[in-house]
Amino acid sequence: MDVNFGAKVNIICEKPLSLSQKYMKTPAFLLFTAAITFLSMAGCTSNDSAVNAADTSVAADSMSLSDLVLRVRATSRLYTAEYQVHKIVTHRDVRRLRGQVLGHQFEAPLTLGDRKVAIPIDVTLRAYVDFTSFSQDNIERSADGQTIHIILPDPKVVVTASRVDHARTRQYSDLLRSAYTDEEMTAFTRQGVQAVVRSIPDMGIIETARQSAAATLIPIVASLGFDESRVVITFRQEQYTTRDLPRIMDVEKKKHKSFTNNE
Amino acid sequence: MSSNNDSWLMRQLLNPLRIIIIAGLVVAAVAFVVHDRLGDGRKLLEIEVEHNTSIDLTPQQVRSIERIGQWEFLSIADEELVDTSRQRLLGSDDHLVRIYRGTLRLGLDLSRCQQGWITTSGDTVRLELPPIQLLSPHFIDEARTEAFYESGTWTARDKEAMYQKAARQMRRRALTRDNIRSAEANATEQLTSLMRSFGFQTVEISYQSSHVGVNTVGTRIP
Repeated sequence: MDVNFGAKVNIICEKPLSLSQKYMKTPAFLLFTAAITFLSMAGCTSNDSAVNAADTSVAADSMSLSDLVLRVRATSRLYTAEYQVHKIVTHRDVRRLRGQVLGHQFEAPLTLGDRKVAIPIDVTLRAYVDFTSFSQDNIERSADGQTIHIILPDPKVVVTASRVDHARTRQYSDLLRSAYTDEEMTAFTRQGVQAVVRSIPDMGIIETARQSAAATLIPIVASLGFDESRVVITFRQEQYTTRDLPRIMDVEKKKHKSFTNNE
Repeated sequence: MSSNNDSWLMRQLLNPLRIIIIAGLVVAAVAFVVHDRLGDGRKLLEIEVEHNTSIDLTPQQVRSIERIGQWEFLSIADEELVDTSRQRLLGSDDHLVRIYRGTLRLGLDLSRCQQGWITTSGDTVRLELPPIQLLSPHFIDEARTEAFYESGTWTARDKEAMYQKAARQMRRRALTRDNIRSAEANATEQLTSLMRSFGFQTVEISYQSSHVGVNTVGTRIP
């Protein structure tokens, strides 16, 4: 039977097939292919999400490419403070192989060579008072009509610009490593600006914006015929922390703090 | 016959390709077992590649604090696609495509108001305002720039040139006569409402001629 089987194979192989075509027909090859396919699927399970994410980002990129439009919006914002913040964003690319074999932990460098980058960035932060919903309800007069009390929404902060100092950007890559791509450097820049934004509550920009708003508005109100010393500007008073960052964008009135021209 | 069968079997087994196939199957089987969990829930072999994509913690420096008085009445968010290419003698050309994003803010710089710009007479108030202008020359948020495509190596000078090109395009698209008029109309509406809140019945607003000057970024307002 074996001989016959072998003869049968020989008969089939009489056709002028290439070597690869020849062995592609063998059961062993089919088994081997199935095993490799299975292993590829099992081994790449953790990477599937990354592949899908990459696909999604490509789709998003395509949308943004076709969405290069102007968005014009009528506003009424009084900008009262501007902070210029400088930061050097650094990144050290470390790839390590980490895991365990039979319960024993191990860690080893995966790539030979090193690469580092330092990106100087300048971020412009501006604080503003939103007058969009300002109305007569925001103005209170004393009974004698001499003192005027203006209640303003709390200042909000916005990143109006960020700039990379490309000329001073430095990157060092060993021979065995590739240079940082534009996409990687942009991602680091974005992280750097986010770090600056997270530190906004510690900068005192809100307090500066309040004082500056008072310094801007009180002379204007005085020009309208009111006694400058009896103009009171009121804001909510609260210490800001990182948790308040979202609220800086959407503030609720709680306590109030007042400014007069004497402050 | 038996000897012939044995030699045929040996020939089959010693075939180099078959050896590779058998070795592959053994490796596959071992890998499958390794990939599977042990009875106590631990993995026999667990390997992961650690790759840090986060920046280091570095300090930051507040370089300047400025008290300003600028009233924004129109914001224009813009995106500009800027590309550049370089021809190479051998191989395909180098390309760099970036999408820049920025917001141009039009409004009044109150520091440019002249002495006595507010006058009152009974229930009438008159405001003489400076022209609408671009409030800041820095309007591109480079952190929101999208590196769309890159091939080849590009210098800082190339990227600086692309940034300047994007800024020029944004100014050209945003600083139009229509947008200036829109900002002026909104300023008139908002300031009129504000003055009425203070009890004035009649509000007269005029703007200094825009041709008097060039705005802060040196771009003549059309």
